[in-house]
Amino acid sequence: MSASAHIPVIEVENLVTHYGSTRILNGINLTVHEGEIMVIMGGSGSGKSTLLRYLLGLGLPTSGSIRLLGRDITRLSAMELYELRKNMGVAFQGGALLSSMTVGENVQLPLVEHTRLDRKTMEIMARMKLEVVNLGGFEHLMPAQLSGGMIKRAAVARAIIMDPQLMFFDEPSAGLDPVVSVELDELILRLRDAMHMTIVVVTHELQSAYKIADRITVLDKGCILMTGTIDEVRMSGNERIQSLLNRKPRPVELSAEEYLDRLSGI
Amino acid sequence: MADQAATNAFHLIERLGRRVTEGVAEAGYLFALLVESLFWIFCGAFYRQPVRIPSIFAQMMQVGIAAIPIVFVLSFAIGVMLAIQGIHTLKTFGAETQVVYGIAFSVVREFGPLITGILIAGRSGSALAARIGTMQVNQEIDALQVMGINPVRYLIAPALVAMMIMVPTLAFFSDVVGMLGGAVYSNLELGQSYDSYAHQSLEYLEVDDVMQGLIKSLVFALIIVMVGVVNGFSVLGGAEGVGRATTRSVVMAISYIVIADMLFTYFLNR
Repeated sequence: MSASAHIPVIEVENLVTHYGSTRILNGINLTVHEGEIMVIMGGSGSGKSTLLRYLLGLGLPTSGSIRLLGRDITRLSAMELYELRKNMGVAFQGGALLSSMTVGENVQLPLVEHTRLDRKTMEIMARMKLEVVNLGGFEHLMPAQLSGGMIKRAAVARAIIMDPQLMFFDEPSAGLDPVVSVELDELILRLRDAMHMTIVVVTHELQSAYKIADRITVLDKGCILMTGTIDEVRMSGNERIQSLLNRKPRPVELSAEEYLDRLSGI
Repeated sequence: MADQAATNAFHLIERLGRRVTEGVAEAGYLFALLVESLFWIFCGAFYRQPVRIPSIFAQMMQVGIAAIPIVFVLSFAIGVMLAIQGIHTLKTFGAETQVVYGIAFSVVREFGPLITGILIAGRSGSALAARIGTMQVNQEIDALQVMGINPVRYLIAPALVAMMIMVPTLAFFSDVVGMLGGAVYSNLELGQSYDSYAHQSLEYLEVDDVMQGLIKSLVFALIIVMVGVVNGFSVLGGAEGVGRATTRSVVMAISYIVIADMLFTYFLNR
């Protein structure tokens, strides 16, 4: 972590969200400091992707506050939120490249929309960012012509084109082979070290988390079980955290009678 | 038995109520999207987020220029059909040469705008719903939002402007081609010269007749875009959801177009 690590860039307080009548996040408190890589871990359905959506301002919480770069995004107008988002980059799980555009056009898109640079400069900047993610020379291809790992790297190039202060990754290693996965981990570390970004990574890949995390937050059933360094999380006495780290399935909480009743629909 | 009947009636009323609520919510959503689109079209530049002219031209190419061949074929066929039916009917009264007026009024006031609207709803409205639906499923809409790009400004506003320009233009083109179809058949069947056909048509047609068709086609354009967009943004699930939204968009748009046409015809011809 860098020396400026104690300046909070993300502050989440008592975040509660619902999907319909179901409570998804239950009083989340989280702080991410400048220049830090925070990994959010948890099993399927733990609420980590939902937390990411709310951190990105893609939903309005039931209660609580989310401060990004010093501003509470739950109270910002749509225009203010769009302005703030120019300082944020996101690499979605599937890349989310616009399929009707080439890789180069995708990477240039934020520049086209938010700056008045000339076309040539934008092309050069896009090539530079593609070089950063080792995709130099691929700018003329369509997203459908790329492999899964290349799509994710192209998405990173698009996310960093505006040199954001804050970067979010949603399951960067999901569906990738181990070598490409390691390459992406190294890219995330490079972004932190070379471009001084604050990075939030949502993942359930243990190896990846151990490699890149400054701190880890473990979520379960919409609650934070703990936030700490890799060693603190590893040494935790929490049974659920240990079962996640040791890949033990969740114990069956139903009695045989309850299970049979559920099957028969009683 | 009575209890069962009461329960069924209750469920029926409940379903009806839910449908009405959903319909009102959807209409509200459509209206909100329309207002936001108009805001970006007219005020986007003041917020340094203008609707991009190249995007509008790209949409105009897809909606309008690429549709010219099929509009030509269908409009020509409609013109020929009207001529066949008209000549057949008017022959009874020995007035088959009067078919020109029937064709001119029918094509310009009704068939030109209607066939164009239905065609664009099936062709471009469905494509818009499918495109937005697929983008929704692939998180491309979310990606636009987190890049600070408003999806309404980026996706809907250019499509709306393009449709509002191209649908009336195509409707006018359809008017001309429809009358050409009628002229070709009349020439073959009655030996009427093209010059005389054109002269007769222009003699009776007034600017108001053409404007009536063009105003209708403006409303059709609005219907096509907004129905496609609302269905696209409402997609849930994967490919199946996109397919459902696309089908629903075509059926809804064509239904609304025909109903709107009927209302227009009623009020404009009273």
